[in-house]
Amino acid sequence: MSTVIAPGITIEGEITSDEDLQIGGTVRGKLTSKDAVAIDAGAVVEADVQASSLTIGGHLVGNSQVAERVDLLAGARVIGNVKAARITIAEGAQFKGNVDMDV
Amino acid sequence: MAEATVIGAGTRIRGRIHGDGDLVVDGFVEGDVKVNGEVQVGASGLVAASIEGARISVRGAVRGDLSATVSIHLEEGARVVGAIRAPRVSVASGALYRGVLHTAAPGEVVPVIAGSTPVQAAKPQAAPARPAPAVAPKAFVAPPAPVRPAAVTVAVAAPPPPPASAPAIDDVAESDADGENDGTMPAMRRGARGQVAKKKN
Repeated sequence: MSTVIAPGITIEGEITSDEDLQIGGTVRGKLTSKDAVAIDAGAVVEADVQASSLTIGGHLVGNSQVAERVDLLAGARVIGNVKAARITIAEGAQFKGNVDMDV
Repeated sequence: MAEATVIGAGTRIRGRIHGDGDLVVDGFVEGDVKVNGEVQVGASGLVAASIEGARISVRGAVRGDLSATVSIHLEEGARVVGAIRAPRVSVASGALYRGVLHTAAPGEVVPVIAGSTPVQAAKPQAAPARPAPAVAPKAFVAPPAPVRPAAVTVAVAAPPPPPASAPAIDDVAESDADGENDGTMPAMRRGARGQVAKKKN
């Protein structure tokens, strides 16, 4: 079973996981997963994120380092640097930061 | 909350979890948990911190105090070391528990655990002439042969026996709340109970 942080729940600290993370609530601190991380619309993540892939529909403040791909959905709001092999940014996503795609 | 928060078996959290909604812990949580819904610690779950919620049910391991506004259930397979406080408490056969247990009548206000260790109210029986301090300092006062208060002390399903070297006044429920006999004074260990979250399991 994967890990779900539901809306209304706040985690302050460090999350380390070997499995999928789905975040609908609030996370402050540090977030590390060996699998996919999804930040849903309405979620607030103030953390540095490491993941194999990252999908963002909510708010992310922090740097992210992703092995495969990062998808910023419409409605996403990201402040921070993104390092990933591939990045997609949907129209309507807000983004402020550096992008590093290992060109 | 339509959706419960789930800490999966492959996930570790070091930090506080709080908010509205239910919580299922199948992974590892090292940090206080405080939600206003139901908390379930699954068979593979491990919580090294205090838990507060409306209802708490444990099948896994908890090292820390449990406090619920409605009920606490220790299911078969549960391993819990710490104080328990709730209006309704059940301990199933096959659950292991060590600690001070407080239940209350329905509707009765259950005080928050923190800083209200009932043992501190006990007066030294052997030295009645010495006035007991009104508020026992947390770490240093160790009254000789303290009388246990009316608090129920439960040791279900034969927890490991205390070592023979344990002092006579040693109290399994209280002084071993941190799960180890390190030779410190019982009162000091009692004072250290709030730090169990730092210990690894």
